[in-house]
Amino acid sequence: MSDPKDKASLPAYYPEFYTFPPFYTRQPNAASWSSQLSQWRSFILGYCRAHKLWRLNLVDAIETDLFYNKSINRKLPLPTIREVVDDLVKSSNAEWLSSEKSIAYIYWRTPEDFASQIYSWIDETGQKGTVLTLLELTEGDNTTQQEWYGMDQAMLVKCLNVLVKRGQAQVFSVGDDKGVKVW
Amino acid sequence: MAFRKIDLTPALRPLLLPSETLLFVQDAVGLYEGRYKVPNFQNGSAYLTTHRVCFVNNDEPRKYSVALELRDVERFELYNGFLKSSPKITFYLRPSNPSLLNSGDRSASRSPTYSPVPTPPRSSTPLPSAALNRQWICPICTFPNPFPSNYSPLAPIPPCLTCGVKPNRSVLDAIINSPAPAKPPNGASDDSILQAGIQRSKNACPRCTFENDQALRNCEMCGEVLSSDTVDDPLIAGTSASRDESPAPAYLGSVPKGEQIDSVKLSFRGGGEKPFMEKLKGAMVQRKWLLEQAPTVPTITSGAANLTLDARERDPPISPPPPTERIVGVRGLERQNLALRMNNQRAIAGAFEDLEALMSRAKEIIALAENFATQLADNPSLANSDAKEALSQSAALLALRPTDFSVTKDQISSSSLSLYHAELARSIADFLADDRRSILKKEGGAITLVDLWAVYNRARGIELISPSDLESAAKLFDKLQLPVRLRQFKSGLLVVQERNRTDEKVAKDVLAWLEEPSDVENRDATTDRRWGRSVLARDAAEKFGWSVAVAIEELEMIEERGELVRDTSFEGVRWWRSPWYISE
Repeated sequence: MSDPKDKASLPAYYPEFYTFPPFYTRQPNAASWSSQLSQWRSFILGYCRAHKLWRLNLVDAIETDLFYNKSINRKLPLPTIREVVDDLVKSSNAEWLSSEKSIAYIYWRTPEDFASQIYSWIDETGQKGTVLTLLELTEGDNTTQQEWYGMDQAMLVKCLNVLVKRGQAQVFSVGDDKGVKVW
Repeated sequence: MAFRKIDLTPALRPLLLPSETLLFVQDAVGLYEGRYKVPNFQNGSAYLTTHRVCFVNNDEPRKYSVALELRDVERFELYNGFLKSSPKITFYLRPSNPSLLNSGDRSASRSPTYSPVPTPPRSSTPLPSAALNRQWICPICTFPNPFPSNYSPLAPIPPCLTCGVKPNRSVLDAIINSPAPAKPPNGASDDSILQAGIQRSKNACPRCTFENDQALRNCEMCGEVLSSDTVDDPLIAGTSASRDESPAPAYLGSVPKGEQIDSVKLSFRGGGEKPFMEKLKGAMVQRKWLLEQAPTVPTITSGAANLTLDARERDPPISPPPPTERIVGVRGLERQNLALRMNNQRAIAGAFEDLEALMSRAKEIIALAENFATQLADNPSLANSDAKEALSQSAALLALRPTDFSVTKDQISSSSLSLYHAELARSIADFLADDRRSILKKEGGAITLVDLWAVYNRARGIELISPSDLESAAKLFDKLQLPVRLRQFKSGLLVVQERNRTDEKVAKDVLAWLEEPSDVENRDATTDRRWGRSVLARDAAEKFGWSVAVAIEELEMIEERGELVRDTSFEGVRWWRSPWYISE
């Protein structure tokens, strides 16, 4: 990760407010907060996308560059992070793993988008009708260039379920592993 | 016109002279010149000071405010009120006032044989000539006296011919207003007149039925409040207490020719004439205005006091050394010092002799106190900071003139607490607007009610006010249209601020200040400069002279508007200009 002190070297997905201390305080004013919230939303999504993060453990993430700007010594407090993620959940860009709200799936693309991507990749590579294990999709040598490479298994099932609903795929268990067949 | 137009303070109270003290305030007062109501001066407040009687009308007070100098008043008397006529205090003016009298011989008009105005002002019907033949019954000894031929409400009442006690004015009024036909002076039915006279002058108590004198407000026996309605005289019982129409003739712009205005009346429609009268008596006895004309500060040697007598006896050989015997050297210096000390001693002893003297010598004493203070400071062995502080504080206290701002409860008629609060509000507004102190300016235009309470009470020194009185008074700022107003912040904090100070103005000032490049670069250079600078509440307090509590509230107010954002960190809340704010 580049030195965040150097503004020019910050990746594009870093918001301009990354160095603005009030960015790390939940603003009581409704208008200010809505602007702040939308900045945080796009930053979390952009960050996860760049770092290929599928699930966010909030307690761990609080110490990462995402929520902690060491250069100005500001941290977004946990309740505020929850609030932002809650908002992401509302727009189905995230999903809590459990009711404790400590870990969340971050969909920097919606499951529908991923489903369409997987479908078109299978279509392009001529693997329609063949059974693919989920591991093959996420860890396989052929998918390293794909956006969903390294995707969390549970998340992948959710994306594939979209295809199942469309009637384009079927998910079944192969021993301990799960397989998918697309047609 | 015996009245002079007066200046008002920003809070619409009479502007007092330097040595003037406010004694009493009464609202619901009307003004009469001679027998006539003065138009536009019929509903106002009367301020009694040591020097003047001021009248401030409720409507358009700047236009209709006048004062009567007490030194122009020869004598005054109280009229207790009768039927629809309110209690009044009449001021008889000195003839020496040329603007008052054109040519009239006032002594003639006062003489008992000459009555220029036979009409009693309380009755719109002219006094029947038959009344001259009437008798009045002395309520003390029941002797039927001849009715005074020159009877008018202004004329002095003759005493009873037998017992020498002056009757109550209402006894005479009752005779005039009585529809009973005039009786011959030696008529046979003296008894019935006597009966009527006594009855009318009695006032039965509703509780214990004791028949009190008409003039009494409270029963002599049981203390029950007596209202005029309880009088079982059909004449009196029929009248209502409402003030919609006064029977006195209205002033028609100018006094009719042939009538001289040698008196001025204050009509107390809301009561309060008794305490006013008492204070007035005190003021007329004290004659503070004479002090003003006298040489301002009596010289020390002339301020003779028992305490300083021996000092004075020893004085002559020491104090003014004749120029011929010039003493030089250490001895001379010693003598000079001794003389100086004697002088100071006498000044102090004389000043503390009584409070009057203290007031008249305040200046001198302050100078002395300051002198002592500097001497203390100069002397390193005596440089005790506590003592210095005490001295400077006492000097500062002497310099204050609490009388300007203090309204005390006993200055206000006890009946109305709201009048007290209104006067208190006015006095606080004056206190805050006072240029010499400029308290609001020092406080950045806003002062918390708690701070105000402390400062104001310190200025008063004595007769402190309670916090609840202050709050009640502050709540009246808006109603009285004073130049300050009470404002409640979101958190409930109450501040008093200038009326013209709005949220927009404050926000503009603060944001402009944040725009300024800070001279001292921010504590961490890592903070991106494009965000401008950030401030703590205490920085704002320092910059604008606010107290920290006010600064926090003001900043939160601007945050509420969306123009500031906060940054909470371990060192507190820093405030930044909001980059997200979109001005409408």
